[in-house]
Amino acid sequence: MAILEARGVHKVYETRGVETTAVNGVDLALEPGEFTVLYGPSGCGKTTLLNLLGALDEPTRGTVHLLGRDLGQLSSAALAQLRLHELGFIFQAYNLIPVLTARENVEFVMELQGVPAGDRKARSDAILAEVGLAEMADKRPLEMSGGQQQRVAVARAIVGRPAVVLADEPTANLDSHTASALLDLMLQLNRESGVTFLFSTHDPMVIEKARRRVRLLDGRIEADEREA
Amino acid sequence: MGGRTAAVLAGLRRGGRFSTQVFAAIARDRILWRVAWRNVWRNGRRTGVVVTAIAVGIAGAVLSMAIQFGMVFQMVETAIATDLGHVQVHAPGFRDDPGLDHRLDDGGRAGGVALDELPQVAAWSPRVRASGLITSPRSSAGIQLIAIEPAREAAITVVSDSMVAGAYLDGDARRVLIGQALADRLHVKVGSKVVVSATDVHGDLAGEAFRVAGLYRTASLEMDRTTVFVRLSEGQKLLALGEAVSELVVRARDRKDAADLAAELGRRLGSEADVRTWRELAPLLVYFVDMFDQMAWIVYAAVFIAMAFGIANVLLMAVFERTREIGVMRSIGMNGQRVVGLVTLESVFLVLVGLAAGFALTGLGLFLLRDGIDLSRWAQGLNALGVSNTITPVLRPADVLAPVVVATITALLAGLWPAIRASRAQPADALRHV
Amino acid sequence: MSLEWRLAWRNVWRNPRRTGLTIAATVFAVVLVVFFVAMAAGLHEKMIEDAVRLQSGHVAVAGAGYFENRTLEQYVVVDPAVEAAFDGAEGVRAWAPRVLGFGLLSKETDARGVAVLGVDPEREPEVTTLAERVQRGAFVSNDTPRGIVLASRLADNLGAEVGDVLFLYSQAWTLESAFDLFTVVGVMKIPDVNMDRSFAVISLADARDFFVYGDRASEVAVLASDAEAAPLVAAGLRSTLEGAEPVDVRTWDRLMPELVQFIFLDDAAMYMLLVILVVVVGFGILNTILMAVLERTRELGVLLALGLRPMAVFRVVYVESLALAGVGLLLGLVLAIPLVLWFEGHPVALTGEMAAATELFGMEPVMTWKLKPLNPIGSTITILGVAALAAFYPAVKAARGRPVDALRSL
Repeated sequence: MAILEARGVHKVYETRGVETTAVNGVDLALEPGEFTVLYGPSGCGKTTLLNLLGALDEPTRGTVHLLGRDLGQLSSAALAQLRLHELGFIFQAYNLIPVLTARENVEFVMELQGVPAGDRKARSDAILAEVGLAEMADKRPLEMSGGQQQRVAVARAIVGRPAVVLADEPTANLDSHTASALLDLMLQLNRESGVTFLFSTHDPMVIEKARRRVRLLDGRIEADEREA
Repeated sequence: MGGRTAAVLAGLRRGGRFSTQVFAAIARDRILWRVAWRNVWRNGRRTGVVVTAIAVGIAGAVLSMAIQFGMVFQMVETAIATDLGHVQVHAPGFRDDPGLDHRLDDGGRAGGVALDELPQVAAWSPRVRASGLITSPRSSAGIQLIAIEPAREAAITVVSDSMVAGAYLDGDARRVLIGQALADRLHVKVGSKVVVSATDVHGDLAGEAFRVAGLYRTASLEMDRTTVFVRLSEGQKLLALGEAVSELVVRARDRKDAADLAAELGRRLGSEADVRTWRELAPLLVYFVDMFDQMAWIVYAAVFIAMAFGIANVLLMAVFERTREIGVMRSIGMNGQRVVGLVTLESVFLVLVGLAAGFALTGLGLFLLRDGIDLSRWAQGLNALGVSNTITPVLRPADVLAPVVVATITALLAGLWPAIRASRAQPADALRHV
Repeated sequence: MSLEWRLAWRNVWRNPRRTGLTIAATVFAVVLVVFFVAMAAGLHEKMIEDAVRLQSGHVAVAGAGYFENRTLEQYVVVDPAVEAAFDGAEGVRAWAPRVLGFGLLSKETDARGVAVLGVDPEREPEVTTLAERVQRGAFVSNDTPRGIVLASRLADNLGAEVGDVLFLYSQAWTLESAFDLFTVVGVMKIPDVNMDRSFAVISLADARDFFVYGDRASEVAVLASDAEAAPLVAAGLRSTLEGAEPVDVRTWDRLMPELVQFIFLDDAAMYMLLVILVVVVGFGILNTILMAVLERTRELGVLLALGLRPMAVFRVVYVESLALAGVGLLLGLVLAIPLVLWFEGHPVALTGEMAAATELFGMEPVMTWKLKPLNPIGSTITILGVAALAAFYPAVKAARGRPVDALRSL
């Protein structure tokens, strides 16, 4: 069964009386453990679709199901609960809370989840080591490079043990070397712990490495291919 | 109509539940405290200006209240120390008609026995009080004649410490003490002869010549102009009172004991005597103190309302420029209640820092004014109110409590709008904001 | 409107929420300042008027030394020549001669020391409000000889009522004993508690007879058009009466220095709090303008790069601050002035404890407001002054920026 599923999803924005259709009838189902990339030209609706799948926005028409639950039927508090426990997010930039250190950013999610302090420490240590930032644990975001910040973001996204991690162009602000390393890290996490990943990107290198590639054009799915 | 009421009630219930959850989140999630506290210091200059405004506002308001209360406090002290004492005992009926008809015929012995047994009593003294006329070779004036036992009275009121010329009533017979102001009016000095006349207990006019033993000057111009002291025995003789007295005046060890003391004394003396505290003897003064208390709260409220606009403004700016950041927080699972809790905490911290700075400034002000403020230029206006020329600020517990209470309410209310604004936006919209 | 002004004005409205809050704070402060200053002005004017109409009028004329001593020894002779001088003096609305003595007033076994004021039953009501204060019975008149009007607390303490006969004992001007019987014709309520306990009025003719005073008077109380006209009237009387026996002409503020000082202290306490209020609002304006300048660093850099002189940038920021405060000020005055004018027409009567507390100051328990022109003018100058001070630092900061740094900042 699909972990995350969009059925006939439309999203129409209205600005000053002009309607723009950002997502125009998308059906997409993610299976557990998949490593999927969403690609297409700028303005094709990638970010909007990710926001809809991640319970950050409501579709104009259609439904999104996460773990079999219809997001449209849930209250905003229940949606916040879902985001906290079942979803992880990584954004293009300005991802972290600037007044918290790397460790505190990672622990933030666990604190909201109510994980006891001892466990928090152990898990944040482990995960920071895993993303290769054990020494940077007490640095604030402004003291870190873009690549390091994104690694912390990855750590924060998976530390709450979500079902799905959604990443909106996570490598867009990084040089190709750093981007490649970050992607390898995520691939490794996907292989080792089976976390389901969904990316949006227009970086060919990222598209190359994905095992499922969904091409989006003008708010519609144009191609959906899986590696054998 | 009923439907609307139900809707309003449901709304209130929802709001109540929401705020309970906000406070639950604040109490549970320590991370909110850390983030809020650090957020306060993100824009140092802006925070600095608000904190300075709060500090100056608090210190200014508290200090000026302390100075004014210093005056009010002195009015009370002056009234107690010049005449009232803490508790007075009279014959029943004296309060409505303070004449010689209502007197303690036993010379206050019954009361004296009870007073000697009560541990709260510091000192007590009998007095005779009558209205009279004082005449000098040059002039005459209406007076309040008070006959005292000099040694006992000295332990209660300040007249003995307020002599500016001559001596307090001592061994010599037929001496009076008068105020400096009265002496000026009568053109008399120490050693001059004056005649004190009054109607005695039988209704006959009685007069007696005295020499001025000394002149006093208190903070009460009214008293200095009208009160004349003689020895108790001589007053009793002039007024043909035998050993009767008008009142017993009592000084308690602590002013706060006055009510207990009066109650206990009243119980022991029964219906034979009318026992009253200074509050009952000078109700106008008490009204005035109460009025001042209420005014203080209004002042604090006015200053804090003015501040609330500034605090709300800063929070609103902070929330606005952090829209995206709040979007990120919401996307990783922070709910509306936690966002409101975060902004509310930030508001509370901002105000608390201001409060701390304000009280530090207040402390500095009090230290600088510890010797009092010299207002002798306005002495007549002050003395007419029973206030001396030097005013020492008095900080009451309420002057610390009031700013804290009003500030907390201000912080919660000023933070409300920005907080709700921050929690309302769709996470996706917030994220689009750069 | 010049470009700079237009720029500044539009900048004010770029962040309407922030501007709105800052204006709201200014409006709040302006309303409070105007309201409380008018309240104090009304209160003080009433205190002065009450005191003046209760005591010696706006100007009092007496023998040299009377105001210090208040004994029968100091007097003015009120002969026809002097009467003519008062009648002819400029600005005098009314005048009344009075005799003041002290005596012991007794009824049976009760006696009280009292100040006895002898007044002309015809002239006195034109100058003071004593006659209006009679609650029971009537004021003294020339038709009922040896009549006396008692202050209410004095009457209570003596247990005296209208119709009772009292014994008055004192010392005459000739230093002989003076005593006589007087019949209570009325009881009057005096707001000053101490005075209410120890004050009685008899007719001028009786007083002159009782104290053996001839055609002398202790003082002549003079009513001017209002308190502010008093110095002029006093100066006129001084020159008219010059050459007769030594007289002392005093205006109300010198007769009641404690009242003047009380008003000063009361004003000082109030202004201290208003200053704090305005300072707090001033910081609000400072923060708003500072934030506006900081978030516009880049834009100001562009202006500088385009060749706008630093002084012009300084002016733009300054005008923005003044416009911000000006809008708040205007709205505040539009709200406050009608409010205060309404209260001016509708005095608030105090009741209960509040009323009792005002009696401590010898005042009637009524709150009145008085809007003097200086009040809104002063408020305007203060608010604009504070805005000018608050804008200084942000304006300097804006003008000091170098175009390059400013452009790099985003």
